Amino acid sequence: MKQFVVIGLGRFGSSIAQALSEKGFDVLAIDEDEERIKEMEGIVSQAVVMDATDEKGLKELGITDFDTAIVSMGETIEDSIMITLSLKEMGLRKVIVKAKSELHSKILRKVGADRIIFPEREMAERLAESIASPKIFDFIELSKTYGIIEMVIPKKLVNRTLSELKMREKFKVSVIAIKRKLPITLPDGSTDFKEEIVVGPGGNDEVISGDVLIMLGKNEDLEKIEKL
Amino acid sequence: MNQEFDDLLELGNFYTLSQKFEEAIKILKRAEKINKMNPELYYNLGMAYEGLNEKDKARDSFRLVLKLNPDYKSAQEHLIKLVEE
Repeated sequence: MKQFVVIGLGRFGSSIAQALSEKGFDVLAIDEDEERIKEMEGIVSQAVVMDATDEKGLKELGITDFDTAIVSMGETIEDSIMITLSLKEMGLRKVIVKAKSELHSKILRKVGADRIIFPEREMAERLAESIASPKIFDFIELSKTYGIIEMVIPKKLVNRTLSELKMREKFKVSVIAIKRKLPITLPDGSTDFKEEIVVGPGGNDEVISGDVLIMLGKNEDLEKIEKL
Repeated sequence: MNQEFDDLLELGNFYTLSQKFEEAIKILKRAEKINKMNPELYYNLGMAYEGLNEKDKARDSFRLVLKLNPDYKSAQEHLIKLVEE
């Protein structure tokens, strides 16, 4: 099983520690603040109060046995740099670091960070996308050119099968899944929904109003469907 | 009770269950002209909008349900789900 160490338990750090733990992974959480550590007790496998810039202390904790470290320190970049540097020197395979700016990101890469994340920015971009077009639930940029979009099917395309729609020929995108709300009647007679996901739908699958399509394609082609 | 209202409500619900959400909305809007005070009507309307993934309208409908009947549990649950999504 993969083991993670999360250093810095602010809002982002504690959320990721909890999320990984819920997925069943071994998580070691480290922070200087006793209160924060107390909050994580019982949620993660191990929570330790310590100054993570203390290289010796990290070594004693057996940090090198972990697969991935997530460094999520607060305002100051110095601590993130120090910790990233020592984790890489100790031979940790993958170090993911939270950064605040492009400049921080550059520095962190120089000292060996394997991945830089900008949670606030990424969240803001996603939120902006979904506010700008409420029909788009999610967009994942795979590269500068390609992406995956999750959007409600445009009205112009409903009540036809995928082969009739010719998504690949006409729009140059692949439908990789369809998410649909299936109405059900509850024992008390009221109506509710059950979510169904058709993964890798075939040509005979029909799309109906309200379906959410998950599509893979070039960003420019996906944009064209958005505008239908 | 108004028979026509009841019939429209039932027909609307039938359309929702058949995944014909747009038809359901049309029918339920007709029912709304007869009675604007029925929480079940707005619950069904909310469900049809949710089925279409028109979340803003679904939220508005569930809020109306709760205005008319603050204890309507399913409406509370759907509203919470939609607000948190």
